[in-house]
Amino acid sequence: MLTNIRSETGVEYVTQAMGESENLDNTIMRTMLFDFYGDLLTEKQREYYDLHFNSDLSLQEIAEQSGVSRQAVWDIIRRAEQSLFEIEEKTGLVSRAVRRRKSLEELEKMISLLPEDENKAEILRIIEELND
Amino acid sequence: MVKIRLRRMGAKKSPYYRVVVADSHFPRDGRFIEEIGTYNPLATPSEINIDMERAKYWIANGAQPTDTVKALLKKAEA
Repeated sequence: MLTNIRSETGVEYVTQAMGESENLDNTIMRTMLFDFYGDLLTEKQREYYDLHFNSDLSLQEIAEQSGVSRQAVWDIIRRAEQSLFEIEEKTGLVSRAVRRRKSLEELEKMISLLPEDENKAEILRIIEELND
Repeated sequence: MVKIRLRRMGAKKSPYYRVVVADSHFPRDGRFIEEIGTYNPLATPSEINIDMERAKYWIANGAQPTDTVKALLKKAEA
């Protein structure tokens, strides 16, 4: 199921662009989705998702900490993931941000090679600003 | 049990990680025993700085790396 969603969303592009191995890819992509859209999750979803992907706790550890079953934690995180991927599919904000960051990096490299002139510092400052 | 985990740092939308050795009994309170590295996935290419000696030392002494840390260690060694 998730694999399907994944291939439909341009998520592959993002993770490819980052060039990481599968396991790290997954975590980083999910972290980005959470940073962008996490506020749209329910409180429980947000809590478990954060513990799993930002604090790197296993499902079992979260279950023990929260006094629920491992299955319950898994269900909640899975549903959260699905919501986030669906939002990304509709809005594409994460893949757009990643693409933009790469382009700006290239631009910054090119400009830093140019001879010094009065505009250079200003251009670099604007690039920095766009990177936020 | 002692675990080796990724701990997420960095600003929103700019993830950055520390690799920390921590007791699994207190996963939520942020305490850790030792920091053995960092990982910046957004740099191109991504930057991994891990003290492999310390990683090996901890694993040899029974510390359990999480799946993501395992992946990172593998990548760091490649």
